[in-house]
Amino acid sequence: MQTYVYKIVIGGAGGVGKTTLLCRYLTGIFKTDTAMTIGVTFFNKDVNRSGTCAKLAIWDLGGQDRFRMVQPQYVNGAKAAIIFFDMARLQTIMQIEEWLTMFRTSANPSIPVFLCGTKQDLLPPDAIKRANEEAMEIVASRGFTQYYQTSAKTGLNVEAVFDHVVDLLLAQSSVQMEARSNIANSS
Amino acid sequence: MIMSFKSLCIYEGLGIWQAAYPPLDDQEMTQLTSGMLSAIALFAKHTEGQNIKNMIIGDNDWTFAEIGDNDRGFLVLQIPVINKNIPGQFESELSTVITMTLRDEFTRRYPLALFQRRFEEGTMFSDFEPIAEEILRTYHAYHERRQSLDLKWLLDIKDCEKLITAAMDKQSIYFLTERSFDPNIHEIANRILAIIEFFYNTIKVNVNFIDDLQDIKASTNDPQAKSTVVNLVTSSVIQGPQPSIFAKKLVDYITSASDEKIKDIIENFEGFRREVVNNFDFTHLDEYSSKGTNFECGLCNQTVRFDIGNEASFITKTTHDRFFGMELSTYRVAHFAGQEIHVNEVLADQNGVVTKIVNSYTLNMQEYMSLSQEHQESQQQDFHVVTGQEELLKKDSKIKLFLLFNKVNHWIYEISCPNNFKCEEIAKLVQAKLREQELVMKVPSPYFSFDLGNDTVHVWVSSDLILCGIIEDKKIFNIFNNFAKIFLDHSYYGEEIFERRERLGIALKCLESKEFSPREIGALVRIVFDDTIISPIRLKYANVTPQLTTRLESEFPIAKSVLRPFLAGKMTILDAIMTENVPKVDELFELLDFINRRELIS
Repeated sequence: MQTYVYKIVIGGAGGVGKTTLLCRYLTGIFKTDTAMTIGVTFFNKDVNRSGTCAKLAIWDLGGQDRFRMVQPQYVNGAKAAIIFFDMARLQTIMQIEEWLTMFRTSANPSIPVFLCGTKQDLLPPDAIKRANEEAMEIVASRGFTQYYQTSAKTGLNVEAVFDHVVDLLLAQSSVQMEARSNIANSS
Repeated sequence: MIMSFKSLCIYEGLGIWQAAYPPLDDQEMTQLTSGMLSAIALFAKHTEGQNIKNMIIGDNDWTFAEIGDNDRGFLVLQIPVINKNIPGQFESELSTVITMTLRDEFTRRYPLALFQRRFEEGTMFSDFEPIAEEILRTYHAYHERRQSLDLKWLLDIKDCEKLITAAMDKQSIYFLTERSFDPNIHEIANRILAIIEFFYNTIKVNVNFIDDLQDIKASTNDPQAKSTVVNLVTSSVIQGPQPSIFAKKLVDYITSASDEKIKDIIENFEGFRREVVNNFDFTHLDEYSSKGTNFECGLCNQTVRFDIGNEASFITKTTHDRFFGMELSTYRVAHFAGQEIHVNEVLADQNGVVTKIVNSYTLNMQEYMSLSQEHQESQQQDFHVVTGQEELLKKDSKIKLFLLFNKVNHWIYEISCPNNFKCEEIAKLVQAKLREQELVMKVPSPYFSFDLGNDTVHVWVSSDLILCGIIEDKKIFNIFNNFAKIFLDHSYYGEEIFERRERLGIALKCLESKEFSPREIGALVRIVFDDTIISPIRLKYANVTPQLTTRLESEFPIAKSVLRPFLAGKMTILDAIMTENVPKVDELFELLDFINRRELIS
């Protein structure tokens, strides 16, 4: 089976529900006091897609400010990023730009970045609409790959976000492999 | 229980290959561990400014080695710690050797450029995993051997003291066997090898297998080369060095020690060795680390460390002539103690072993800074009188008065000053006479004298230091007159003069009480300036002492009384000089030079 390994970084303001959502999605949590010590928690997930295995190494970066200085180095080598904000606390949108800048500067300027609004289940319909409108504005203006409103409680779009990430990465790898193969054949 | 060695190569937080020996059932690449190790390494680099080299988690020692120079790739080796209480040099050395071997082999097969441009295929470097496993297997044998180290079993080897001595001296060791195919022989060889590696204190031992003793000659160009031969068939050392006292003591100890005590030796051999060395007053100098030396400050007892190989770790160094096989130097080492600087003048050999603290003194910051300022203006202030530690000169001495003073720093050192003299006033008087000279002479005389009552005061002058004395014996005056210029012309660093002035008192005592030839001032120079005379000696082969002493007694009459305690390290040259057994100091130095020159004991 063809296997790929991808490092995915997760960011967002403290308390927006990053880890809760990841726990909903993942099994095999590796949680020690690492998060407290060095500002990052690690998760693994293997996803199979028609004979190809994508091994996801998910780095959940702590939202606490005191780890912000070291986090750019953690982002090196990431193939995709997801930034979370709390739909019930729209002020958390303010930090999106900071995370986006770090991912594009430290990982890759063209890294695919997804935006996720969390805790959708807590909001009435008009508040959801307002949050989505604000998010979509940012997505359009800042070149995000896709926006998802999510709920760890109901499971809304939890799988969908990561499915999208995996599909995108596998497609990119496939293109790269094909390009390499063409180069090899032509030489 | 066989414990695995594991290695993991990480790039940008992702594991790219891993290997283990013995192989693990679940060889699944753990990206969790890779992520955690990578983050720890990056965190350490960010917070401490340097790469993490090593850490211990639980029973495992983790060693990190960078690949490339951009902090993105590194190799981690995990080996079990044998000695959980004191992680030792063994694990450290083994880890370093393995990580370097793995890294060299990996970067040789996968050029760095390719490695850094890696695609995300999870199996791209998996070809390297069996190669890494083989490397781990090779070095795992060292680890297993060390784990099975059995010092009690050592006693089964006849003349094992020679083997210990040879291993501690890092000599070549040969295993003689005619039955190399015999598995029992392999087992014995392995056990002895563990012991040799332990005493060598490195895994890089010089051990060879031979079938015939003639093979030794064939394998070395030096027919006189020391070789130790262990006959594996008879489990005996059939050729080797004279056993050291330490080796004998160790074997005695092991013979009666409990398993627990033997385990203690293995876990803290260096501590055991030092204890034995301290208690039995002998040593193997070459085993001391040359990387750094600890000693206790003579003033505050704080442990001070310096490295003879690192000039930044001491202020100055004065090298002395070779001394009984030792190459001694005086190092001036400073350390901060609150608002003060403590300076220790320590005598250390070529291995960094401190044999003596010559002098310790305090400088406050201001004094320290002022040392670098040349020729301060003399200030009109009272002299500060310092009395010697003991009254060296007799009351009816031919040296009636003797003072050393510093006209700039205004101290007077009383070597001898009877009650009826006011030394401070004498110093002022001498200064006044000196100013008179400076007024009338373009270049003041380095020596002058003046009458004081019924006595003649002799004065010797340098830029800052002045010696003055009333010496009634003409012969003593003549000898000292020659020596005074040497004493005053010496360049004194900092407060080195404080040590020298005390030795000057001893020299004067010798001058008064011993026999000196008028033209021979070499002995005085050595008493005052040669720090080796206050160092006890440490002989590598202490067993030569009786024969050497007997031989020299016929040529040097004083040999009998001083040589034995001196060679045993129980008496310094200075101690010997101060005894009545040495009427002629020159003769003692002649004897010592005779031994030293011919390298009779080194």
